[in-house]
Amino acid sequence: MGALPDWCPTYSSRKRDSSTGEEVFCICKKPDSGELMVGCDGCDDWFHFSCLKIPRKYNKLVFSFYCPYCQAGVTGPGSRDGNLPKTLWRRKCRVQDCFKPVADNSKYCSEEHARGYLQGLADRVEVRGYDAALVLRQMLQNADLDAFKSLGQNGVPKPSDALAPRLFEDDARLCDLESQLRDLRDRDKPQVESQLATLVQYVTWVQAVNELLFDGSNVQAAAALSQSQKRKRNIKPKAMCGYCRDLRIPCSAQDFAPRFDEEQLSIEGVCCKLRCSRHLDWAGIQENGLRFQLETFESSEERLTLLVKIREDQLKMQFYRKMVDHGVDPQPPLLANE
Amino acid sequence: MANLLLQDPFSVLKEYPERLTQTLETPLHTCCVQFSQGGDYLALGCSNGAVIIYDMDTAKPISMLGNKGGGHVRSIQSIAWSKDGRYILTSSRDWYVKMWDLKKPGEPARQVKFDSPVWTCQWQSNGTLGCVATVYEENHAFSIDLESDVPTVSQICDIGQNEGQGADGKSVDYGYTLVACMHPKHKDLLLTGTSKGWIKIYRLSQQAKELIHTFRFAYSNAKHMIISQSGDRIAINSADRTIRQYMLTMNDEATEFNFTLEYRYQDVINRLQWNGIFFSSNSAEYLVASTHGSSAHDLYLWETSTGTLVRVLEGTEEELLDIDWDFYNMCIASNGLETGNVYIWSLVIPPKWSALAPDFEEVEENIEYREKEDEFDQVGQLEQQQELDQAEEVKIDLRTRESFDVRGNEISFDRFVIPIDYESILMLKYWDREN
Repeated sequence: MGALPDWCPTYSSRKRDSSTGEEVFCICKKPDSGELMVGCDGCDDWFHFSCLKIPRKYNKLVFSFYCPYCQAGVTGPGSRDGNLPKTLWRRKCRVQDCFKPVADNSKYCSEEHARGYLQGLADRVEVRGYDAALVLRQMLQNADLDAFKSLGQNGVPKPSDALAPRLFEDDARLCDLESQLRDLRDRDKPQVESQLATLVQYVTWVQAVNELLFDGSNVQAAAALSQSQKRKRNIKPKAMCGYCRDLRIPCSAQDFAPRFDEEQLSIEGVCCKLRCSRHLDWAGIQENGLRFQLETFESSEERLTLLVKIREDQLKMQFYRKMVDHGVDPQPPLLANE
Repeated sequence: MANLLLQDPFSVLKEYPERLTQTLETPLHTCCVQFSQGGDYLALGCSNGAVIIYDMDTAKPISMLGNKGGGHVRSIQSIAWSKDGRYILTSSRDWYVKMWDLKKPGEPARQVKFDSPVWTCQWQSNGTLGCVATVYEENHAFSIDLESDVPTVSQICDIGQNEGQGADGKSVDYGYTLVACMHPKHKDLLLTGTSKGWIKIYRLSQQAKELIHTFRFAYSNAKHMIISQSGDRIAINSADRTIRQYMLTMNDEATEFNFTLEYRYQDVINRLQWNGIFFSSNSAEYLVASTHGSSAHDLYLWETSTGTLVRVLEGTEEELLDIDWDFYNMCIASNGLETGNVYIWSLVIPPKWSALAPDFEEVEENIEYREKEDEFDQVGQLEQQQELDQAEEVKIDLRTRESFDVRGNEISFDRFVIPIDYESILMLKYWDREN
């Protein structure tokens, strides 16, 4: 014998109210008040939905009902052969708020609900930039999940080899971009690079001259500095400015050094001032300028390659649109692999 | 900008901004600011050489000069907008003066390299693409002709007359030329200020550059020199911690000049230097200046006719450097020393509801409205029709542009609109999708 749920009173076989003589039902043993009841298939008694704590909305879903007593084997078939019966339910419609039983061979109570449910699913499909219905159709056509996932990975489909040159070569914008890119790579970048090389070479020359001229005195100065307990720590080593407008090395450092004279402001266009404030940091400024130029070239290169790619994609898309417009049916863009 | 005529005239026509209304926080450190001619854009020159252009309607950056190469690599010293707003001149400590065409702001349209850092640059007012630049440790200013692809540079110095000669025949050392400004009315006159406290006035023409007047105002560096729009008031900020305000008078042929000292502005207590100065519009009734030193965070505004301090523009928490005044929107921009942010003071015009309907009155409490006897009576149809006809007969001119705005600023010139850079938008979109 099975156990009764704790809210269920123990079985009483009373069928009539002792004081009024009315017929009583259910576990509550009250007369029929018109409230929704369900008949037990085991004991033929009637039970209130509310007393059995079954939500009213399930009333259409009951297939065969057995009361708690029958399920526990107190009454009904279970009390006779020990096979405890269970209440059976019909399958509910898939629409969440619908509590009607399903129609034959369906998961829904009606055609209408079936459509509504699927529409709801389709609405939840959201792919940026694509038609959801189209994507769904693709999904249905591509039963293979992996194949579906890889869709669109290959970029915009290419036009055939015969057509491609015409498509790309006739486009002014693309040609312009490509020539810009070529100019940048073949002309501008090497030019700045060679300027940078000249600058580096010239700066090394100036350093060499300075070393020849002032190395000794600088060492002396450093020695003096250490003796005076390095009171003036940030004293700069003595050096001539060395700025020259066109960065032309006039002669070798060995030849130049003897010609240096502190009185003379410039020799062959090379500024010979010591601690020249006017050309302060000329090498740094020029190097920064050139390096900055190179940096922007690099980002320009990146930008141009990207723009070329974008333009090519645009052209390919246009090509596809045209094909479709003319009635040639290419594979839908999403499906095309290579 | 809303239609200013509909606003309260007493607020609209105030002559100087009053409240700090906006702070542009830039990631880069701003060192000079310059409004475009009509106040539509604000160019910020930064300490790393970048020049950013802000749109003043949205207060957002819209363009960066030289993002395709050729930008400056040292701090920007000065910026100048051309009158039509299409070109910008920048000078920098990297020895370059560059001219930018805002149709293609990616690269400089022209550039000139000097042999030392460039202090200032400004447009010549003769209608061509030409510039005057002052360069570190150079005795003379330079004139740059930017019309052709390869700019030509020439020194502005009088060859005919011996420039070193003073009036009494003794040689005079004027010192290095540090600042320069063009005379707004006489387009061929250039005023320069030197390191030894001289003002030199040149007449520029195609053929020659003639030194026509010299005047010594002090024995120290000229740091800034500004001239009023009317051309008769000059202020010079010099290294002796004084701003001198002169009345400039000249004869009709512009050959004889007379400088009359009107006021000297000094901080008598702290003896602070002045970082920047600027005149108000037209005849320059006000002068605004920023002070050097970490203790001062305000802009001082004097009335030039009396020399009295009339307003202190406050609200910032750092020292202010460069100043620019946009007369069209009546706002002043200044950049901070520490953060490099740009602060903008402007007018706050209270909303005036009566502008919406002429008989609109604001009431404190609800008043129950009593309809007058004849208030909604139908006027005679004929009369009404006549009135309507009359109203239609008045021709409204929608085409002729007014030449002055409410505040008396000239608006008859064309304003260049910086084109939208669709390419960069496309790129951003693409980057978004890729990453």
